[in-house]
Amino acid sequence: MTTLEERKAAEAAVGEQLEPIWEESGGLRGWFTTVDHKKIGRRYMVTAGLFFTVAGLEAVVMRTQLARAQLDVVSPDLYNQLFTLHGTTMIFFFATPMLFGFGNYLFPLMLGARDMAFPRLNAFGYWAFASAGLLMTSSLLFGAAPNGGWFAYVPLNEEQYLPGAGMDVYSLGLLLLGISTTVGGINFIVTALTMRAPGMSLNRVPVFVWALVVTSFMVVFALPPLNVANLMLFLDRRYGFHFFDPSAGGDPILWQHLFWLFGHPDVYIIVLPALGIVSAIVPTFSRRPIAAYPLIVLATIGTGVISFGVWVHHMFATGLPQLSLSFFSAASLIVTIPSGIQYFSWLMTIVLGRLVVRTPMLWILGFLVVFVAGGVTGVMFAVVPFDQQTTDSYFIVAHFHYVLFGGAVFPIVAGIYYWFGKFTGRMLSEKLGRWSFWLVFVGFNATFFPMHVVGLLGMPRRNYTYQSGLGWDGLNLVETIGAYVLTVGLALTLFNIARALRSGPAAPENPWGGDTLEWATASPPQDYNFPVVPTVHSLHPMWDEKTLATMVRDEDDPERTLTDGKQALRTSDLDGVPEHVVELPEETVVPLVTAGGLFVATLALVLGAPVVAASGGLLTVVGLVVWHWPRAARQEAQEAQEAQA
Amino acid sequence: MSAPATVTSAATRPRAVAREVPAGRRPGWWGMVLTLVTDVAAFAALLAAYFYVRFVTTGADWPPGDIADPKLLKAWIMTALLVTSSAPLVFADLGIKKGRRGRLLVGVGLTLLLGAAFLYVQYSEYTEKLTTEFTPQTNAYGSLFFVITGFHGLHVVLGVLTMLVVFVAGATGRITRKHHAVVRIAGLYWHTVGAVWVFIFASLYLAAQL
Repeated sequence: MTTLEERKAAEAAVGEQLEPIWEESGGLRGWFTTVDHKKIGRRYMVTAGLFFTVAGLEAVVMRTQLARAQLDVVSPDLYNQLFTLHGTTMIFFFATPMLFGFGNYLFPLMLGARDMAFPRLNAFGYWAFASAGLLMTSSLLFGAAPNGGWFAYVPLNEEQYLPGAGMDVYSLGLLLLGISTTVGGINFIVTALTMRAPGMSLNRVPVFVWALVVTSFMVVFALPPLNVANLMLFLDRRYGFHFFDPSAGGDPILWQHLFWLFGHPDVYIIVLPALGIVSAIVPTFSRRPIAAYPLIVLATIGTGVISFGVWVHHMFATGLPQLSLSFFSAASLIVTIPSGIQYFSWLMTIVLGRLVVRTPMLWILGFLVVFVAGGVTGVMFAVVPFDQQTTDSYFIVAHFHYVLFGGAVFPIVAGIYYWFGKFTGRMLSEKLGRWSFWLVFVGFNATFFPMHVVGLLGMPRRNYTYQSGLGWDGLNLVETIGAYVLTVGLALTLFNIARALRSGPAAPENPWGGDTLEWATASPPQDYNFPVVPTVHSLHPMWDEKTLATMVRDEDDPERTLTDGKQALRTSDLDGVPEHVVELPEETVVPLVTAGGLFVATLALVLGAPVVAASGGLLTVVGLVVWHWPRAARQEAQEAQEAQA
Repeated sequence: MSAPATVTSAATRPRAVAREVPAGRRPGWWGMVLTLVTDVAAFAALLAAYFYVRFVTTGADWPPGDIADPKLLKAWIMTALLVTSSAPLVFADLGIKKGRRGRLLVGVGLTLLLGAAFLYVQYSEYTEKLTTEFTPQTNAYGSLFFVITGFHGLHVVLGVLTMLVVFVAGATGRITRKHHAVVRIAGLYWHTVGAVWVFIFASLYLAAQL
């Protein structure tokens, strides 16, 4: 299984023609101009990993502060900045960008395409994300980090109660990131709709792709309320507007509605693509197709739809009308059904298959245990009286770490072990991976399980310290020790990655015997992904011989080799019937400049320099005009002239 | 494969096929549709906030305090300008499909002028309101009014700029019978911005009289 014969033959036939067309500049220049989805995807993952590390270390400092009662490791004000930045970074700058990184890398490979539908938009999205994250993370160094909690409730977060630049960094940083996430989502949807390999009808699309497409649709509908809310917060704080100010006709509850109308779908925006990773890994290591494919796809869509009707369960303690509480309580109970369907689909796949526990699968098994525990406490919050008892206690901190660490971090690490060979051409060490898993699994549960108990014992979240003798001391110490074990476990995976990059064994093309098309490419893939665009014959193209055979059969067909230029195939939305060839853009610095303008504008607004901000905005507009300037007609005329000459 | 391509076979090569009018929707068209979906969702969130503050927070007295009901004359003119402006753009789009560059330029030019006229009336309305009635800092109603209409005005500014770009590109022969997707896609944006205005007009001006 080291080299795929079909790929080798296709490569030999047209590789030489494709290579010069797809090659990009190397070095520093290439760094700024690339539009290759693989480089951008890798960058997304590395950058998000960096933010994860920083935000993780912030948590370790907090746990150190809470190891014993009344310690003085950090000041209360710094503690406020730490928990706000930890939450904001993990939710916005780690989870979604990391999963978008997986998506950027894997979408065209899984779909049998040569790149995303909008390669320049992809680069733009990365630069906007990276610069927003840089602004957010580095604000800590200037003592200007957000400090009002990651959901920034008003009136606390209004200027008069929380002066300073912190919450302006928050609102504007999230607006900039919102643009990046939205264009990323749109790119995923359009790619999945228009760029699939011939024959890949909708019922042959991998579950991971489905999951990310549903996520992207959720992004398209859920981010606007957040962006609108952040715009309002910024105007309230800086320019004396009154959206959330009750003394001038505004309403603080409006913030909560707008924020959670985004916030609850966002839980699924984070978790669904991670569940997509699970759906990609489980069948491979169960050695059989995923059970109930149509059901798992429908359940994913169902989760996406229902998640827009549950946001008020974050506001059960706010004092809303009884009727509204009942409705949202019922909806919050119902949303567990589609998640349950996904769960049973994985369990049945494992039970009906023949389980092989390699490292990626080990992390998935850990996920199955941890995530179900988070799900169970989640159902408890749907019940109004229970929610009102435990809200803002450590019980809720325990719950959402089981959901988000369990539901996103475990699958993400599993995904890293699973696809690392494809991403880099090197294999990670299985042994180190197992050590890392057990340390993380034990450390995670030691950190977060006791939080359920201290929460029920009444310990409130977000306090920088606590009194001794309330029955919390021993459990808090266990949590802190657990956090250190967890850190060592994650550091071991980081070490594993560094070691593999330097001296890891070369990765075969399909190391695990996976079923989706990314395994039909080289490890790492060529710039053009597929020398011959395959024609897909089933949901498991790597497990049916017909699909692979088309890569040899079509090696003389110009409609499948596309050697005339940087081209991809546009296929029909539902059935994947080839329609026409589309030209893809060459490398360019325009996305960087366009995103740079937005970054300048954001930074200038934080620093209170509207004129500079306007010139940044102008730069973005100029960038957009250059970007979209119609060129095709002239090029065609020129080529026609050359052909005549 | 390595033999030099003759003129006949060149027409059947993918590059040539790629340049023909596409059978399905272009990726760019889908991209604009989704951008507009998320954009309309933002306007929906803004209008929801407006109605929330009006009905849940404030109650009967609307607009609150001493602020009079919004005057309608200028708003009717703005509505007429923006709704009318879509027609010449459709005329331009259908024209360039047949390769008629004159129709493209006249249509886009008219849309451009009508859009600019809209902005001029909005500017005069803003001046009047800011100097004699209320500002965004007066109260939540003022904040909502100016942010909603201002966010929409920004869309019209971007739309007028887009029309300018399309006009220049058309005048310099960059938009042809074969390559006119940009007109269709820019039109999609313009029509949506016009449709959104109708909702804003109905919510902020007409419904405020009730």
